[in-house]
Amino acid sequence: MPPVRAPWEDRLDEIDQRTRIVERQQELAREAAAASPPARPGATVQADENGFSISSPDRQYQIRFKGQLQVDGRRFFTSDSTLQSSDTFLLRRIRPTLDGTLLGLVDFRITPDFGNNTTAIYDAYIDTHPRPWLRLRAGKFKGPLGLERLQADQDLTFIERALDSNLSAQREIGLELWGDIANGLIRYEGGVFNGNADNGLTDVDSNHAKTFEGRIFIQPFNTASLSFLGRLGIGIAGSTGNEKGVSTLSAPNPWMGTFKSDGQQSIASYLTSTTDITQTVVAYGRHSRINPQLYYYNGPVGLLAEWIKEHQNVAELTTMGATFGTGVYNNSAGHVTVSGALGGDVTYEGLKPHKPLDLAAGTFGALELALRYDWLNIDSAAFPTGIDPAKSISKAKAYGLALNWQLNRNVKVDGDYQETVFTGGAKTGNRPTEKVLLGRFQVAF
Amino acid sequence: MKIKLRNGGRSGLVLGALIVLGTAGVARAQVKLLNVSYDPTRELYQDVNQAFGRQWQQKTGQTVNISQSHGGSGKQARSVIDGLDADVVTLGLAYDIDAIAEKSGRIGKDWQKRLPDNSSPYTSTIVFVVRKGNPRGIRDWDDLVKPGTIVVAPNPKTSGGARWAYLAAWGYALQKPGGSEAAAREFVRKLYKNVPVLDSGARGSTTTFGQRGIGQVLVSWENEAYLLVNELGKDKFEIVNPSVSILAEPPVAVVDKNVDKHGTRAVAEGYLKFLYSDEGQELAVKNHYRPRSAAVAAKHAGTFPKIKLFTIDQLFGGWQKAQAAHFADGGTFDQIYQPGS
Repeated sequence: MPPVRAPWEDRLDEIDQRTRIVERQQELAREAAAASPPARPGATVQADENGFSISSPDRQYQIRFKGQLQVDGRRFFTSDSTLQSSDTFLLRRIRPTLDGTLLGLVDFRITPDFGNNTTAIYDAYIDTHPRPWLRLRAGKFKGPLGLERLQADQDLTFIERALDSNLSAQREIGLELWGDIANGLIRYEGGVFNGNADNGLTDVDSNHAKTFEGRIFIQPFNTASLSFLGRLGIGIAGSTGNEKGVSTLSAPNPWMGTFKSDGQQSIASYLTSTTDITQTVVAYGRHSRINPQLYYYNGPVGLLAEWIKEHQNVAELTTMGATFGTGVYNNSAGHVTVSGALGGDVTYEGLKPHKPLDLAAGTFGALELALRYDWLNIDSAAFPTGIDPAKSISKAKAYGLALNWQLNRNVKVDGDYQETVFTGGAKTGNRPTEKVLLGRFQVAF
Repeated sequence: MKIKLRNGGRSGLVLGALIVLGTAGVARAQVKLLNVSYDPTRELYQDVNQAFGRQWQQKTGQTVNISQSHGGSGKQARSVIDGLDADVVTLGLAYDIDAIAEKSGRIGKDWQKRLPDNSSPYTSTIVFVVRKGNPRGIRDWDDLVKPGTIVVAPNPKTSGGARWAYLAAWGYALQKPGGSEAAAREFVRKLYKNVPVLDSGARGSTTTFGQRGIGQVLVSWENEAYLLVNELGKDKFEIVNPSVSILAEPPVAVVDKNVDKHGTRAVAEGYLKFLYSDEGQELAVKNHYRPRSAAVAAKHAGTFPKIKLFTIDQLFGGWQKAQAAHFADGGTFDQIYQPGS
């Protein structure tokens, strides 16, 4: 028979057991904590002025969603009823962008555009970057020509690019090696592309020959010790390649550009016809361009200037079935933009407000005032066998004034006034001067 | 162009060849194995490793360095799934090896058919350990569910032994007169209400009970119970055999993809086959595992008490069904066990 225990002995045992249990539970908790691998942080979800992104903890894998929406309005000051009909509101750009990084080595971008009542792919490329100075990009993207062309759409000082953008392709398809040397002191780009026509966006080449394009851009003050001098960039870009248009009446593909004014009106185009082959001009031979570039930014002031000259061999089809008559056109264009800001800095990457709009805090974002002079000269050799002088201008000179309000990094309201004087382009005399007021409300992230 | 070797060159070549051959010979003469096992098998496999190493060297000339890893059977399986480079797994229950086969593909799904007795070279069962004199008077499973009894048992979510113990209790309640699933569920709920500490493995529970002095009864593997009593003192603990328990069949398997990667398939398979040999079976008995070999079992007939044992197939329809019903997330155990209640 077990010995009789006093009640206090049972109570003591119970307290002892409870104490031991708590101690053991703490011990197990410590062991579990010690045995557990350090908690791996999960994927990072980020939403800020640069867009929305998800990335792995080590940022080796990222996906970013960006977008750009531009709602424009155009008002032409003219008595010409045809031109008056161009007064419109329009969705100039609707561009969602999907960016990503894989393995920390490969970037990609896909950007369609649904603006202007059309759908097109603007950017679709893969960019492999084993080193900052060695990157390989393949796909559809902006070629090296055109300093203002290379500037992101949402960062432009003027609502529409200057007249010299008529002499470079909107996008190219091909392969490009590029990179930054000496911490961005020098950027090089060099690639082989289909070689699009002026202002072209086409995805498929018209012949087997390809176009080589390249650019060297130097920023001599891009070092810590010289940064106080501002940001100066000097570069030169060029391209050369053989191009050949298609001259069939049923499906002509002349591979020649068309020219637009600052108000986005067609001001010049090469002869093309689906009924009379003699009224067609096609690219036929070497097409080369040279494009010196310059920018300078220092705090609230900025300057961007460039000039571009092209040398294009063409075939002027003078008689049905006859040998091509040949021609060489040398067109040139350029522009200078100067701008000053209040409450922000003018940069190549757009106007950057020191403080975003905040009515309660009394901040307004940043205001920018800019002036631009741009011009376009079409080779007189193109008239009249390549271009109809009664319909197309031979020269254009434009003066522009821009007033931009950057509310914050994502929202911008722009207003431009452009006046463009033409030479030629009418049955008698010159095309009337284009006076246009452009407005834009833009959201970009 | 011809290259002529001078005497020195030839000597260099010969020396180089000897070094290469010598290195290759050393590499062939040594082989490493990693045995990922469950909690209470440390002592068993220390003995097995030593004996097998001797036998393998005599047979092949190779020295085998066998490393052991121990923990709760479920946790160990998870480690192998996550990449622990095991050559063989010797776990507490077949479900854990099935999980490795299914989730990692490192083990062929036919693993259980490759060795005799469903690849289970030894068996065990679940018994109780009480403090000397059995002051609480624990005789059978019913005593564990009495209010105020403090029971020590590992966590069925992580420990193979705990799952066997849980099913043993469930089977006992089910087979009682008037037993039913509902009665068994209530019985097991009451039992785990009396478990204040859930260790992740059987060895942890042994420590909780034996060294930390917690509880009046430990629900344990039979082999672990003997180890505790023998190691910590027969004057402190005694084993109580319940009237009914479960036949626990710990399985073993070669981790196919790992041995093929390491080039250790032959030695790994030899290692597991050794467990079925007379010597391996004797070592199992020595470490209080019940042998599969009829001859060895007959030789040690008086060593293991006779307990009425049921199998998992008889009462639960096999491990897959038992796992899904009782131990999967949201299963019966999750429903009945409320920490701290």
